[in-house]
Amino acid sequence: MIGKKKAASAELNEKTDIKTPVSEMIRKFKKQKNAVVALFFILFLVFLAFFGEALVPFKINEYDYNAILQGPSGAHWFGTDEFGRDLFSRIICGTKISLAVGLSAVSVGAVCGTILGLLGGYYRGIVDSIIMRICDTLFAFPGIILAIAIVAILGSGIGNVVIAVAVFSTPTFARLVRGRTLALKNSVFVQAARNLGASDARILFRHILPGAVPEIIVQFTMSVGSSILTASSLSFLGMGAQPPTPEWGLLLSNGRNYMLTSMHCTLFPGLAIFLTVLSFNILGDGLRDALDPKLSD
Amino acid sequence: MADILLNVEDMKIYYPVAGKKFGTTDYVKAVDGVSFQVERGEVFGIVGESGCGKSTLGRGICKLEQPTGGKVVLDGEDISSYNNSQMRPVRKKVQMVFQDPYASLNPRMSIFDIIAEPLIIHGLTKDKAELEAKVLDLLRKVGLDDYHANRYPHEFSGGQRQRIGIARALAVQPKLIIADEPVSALDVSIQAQVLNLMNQLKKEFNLTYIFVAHDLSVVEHISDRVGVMYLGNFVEVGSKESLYKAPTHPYTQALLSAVPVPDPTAKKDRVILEGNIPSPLNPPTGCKFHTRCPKCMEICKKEAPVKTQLTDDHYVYCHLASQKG
Repeated sequence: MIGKKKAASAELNEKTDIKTPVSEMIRKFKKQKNAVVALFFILFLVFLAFFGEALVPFKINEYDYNAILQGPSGAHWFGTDEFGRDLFSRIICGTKISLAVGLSAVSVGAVCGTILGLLGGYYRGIVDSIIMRICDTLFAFPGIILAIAIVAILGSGIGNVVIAVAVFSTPTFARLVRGRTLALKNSVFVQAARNLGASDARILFRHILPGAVPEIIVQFTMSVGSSILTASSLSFLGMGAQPPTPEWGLLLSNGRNYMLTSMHCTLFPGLAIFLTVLSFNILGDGLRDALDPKLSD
Repeated sequence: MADILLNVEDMKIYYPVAGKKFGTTDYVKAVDGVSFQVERGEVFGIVGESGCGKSTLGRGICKLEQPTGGKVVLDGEDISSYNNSQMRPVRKKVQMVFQDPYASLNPRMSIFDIIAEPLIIHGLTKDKAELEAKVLDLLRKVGLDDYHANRYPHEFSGGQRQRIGIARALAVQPKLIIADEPVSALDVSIQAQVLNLMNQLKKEFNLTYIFVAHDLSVVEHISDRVGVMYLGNFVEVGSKESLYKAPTHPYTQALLSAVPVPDPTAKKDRVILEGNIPSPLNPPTGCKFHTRCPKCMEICKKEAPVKTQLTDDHYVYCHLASQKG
């Protein structure tokens, strides 16, 4: 769409300084220092996820039985675990897993939820009732219990954790998008589009969906944080990643046995989870404020 | 016989609401058996106070509301029973201009995309270059500049937005444009500009307008024929000249007496109507206007008045007129 616009009117650009909704949003976002910091931290995590493995001083599963459960030092910044593995390296390498689980699960949930919400809100009737009653049922379970139930059915493992988290993040998106669809469906510009002869698909994806995108982005960011938390919790309970994967929840779970003697084994993985989830939440808050047209300056 | 572009017969648009007793359904009769014809090339004005069903009637014609009953024949084609997909080709013939120019433009689309949309939907252009040329041409036709194409609706004034709305309606080269209070959201000075633009476009594109408004002077300025609506029905329909000079229905007389005259010394015989418009959920019996009519008679409370032809192009629904004739 943007490409087309550019091509359509390169010569039209000259006289204008375009104030698009996007540029407006970036301007508002920049004003929120917390959110900008959170964004950079997340970008840093993404960088670690891609290149962390190549940069860390030790291999993930490099055992050193002469240095088990050592506290933080110059050689081992975050100390070592019960097999003498370097915790710093393991946490850095775990970034990839947590981010991948969080992002992929929420992406699946967001796509499914959005489609269900659009269909339910636009067509109403029996389709809507079925979709929303299923969502209500899923909402009735606390997220973690539902995830445990799904993993219990499918079996443990990272892949199934993704599925479990995706399932319980779907209804949130379905409800959100359905609400926006209901509101936008009766807006004058949607009626205008129908009056022009636009097909249902065109109305849904060109007119209604773009109106719901800000909400979806905010919800997406918030959900990534909580999904990472849930995925870690499942691993902590032994239902997600299996040893020796350096998953943060699993590191926490392993460290738990030595909490009284070697606190760093739980402190650092916990800190990693905490900072990551916090960053996603702050970023989500910042995006919400930046995307809300009613909050002008 | 004149060249009839649109023929509406006995159109009814009812909205179901929950009835007073549990389990029953009542109906809000927004449009209750309206018949009229619009000739090719004329401007048919519809006036009436808020809630009389004038907008609903306009929306019913282009099927934004599904009529409950009646017949709509557009350009020789009976579209009464058409569903959405059957309507799609018909939409090239009838377009709508909306009241609120801001709400009717998608805030997330550039002006180029907004005007290009009908062309893309109906596949009216072969390639990108032609699409671009057509959109820019339409922009110029409504008095905007090429560089406006890349902007977004919120960057325009009300009048400019309405021009964009008109350009979008023109894109498919319709025969009939239903303008639903196109200028009532605009400043008076801008109203004149937009009205003049509509007049000019009408000549250029051989358009026919149905012009819905509540402002009598606006309707007088643009219309050839005028229909006055009250509570879901026409009460009087006539050519502009004869209706404004010799209003026959008491309601029309009351409306016209309320138009301000630019002469502070002029004596005015204002007909003041009392009370509010009755609920369309439970309209009065007989003539629907009898509850507020200054000349109400016994018969008005019992029998609905029939159509009385005053002249060739002027008819009224009123017992006063039918008794005289």
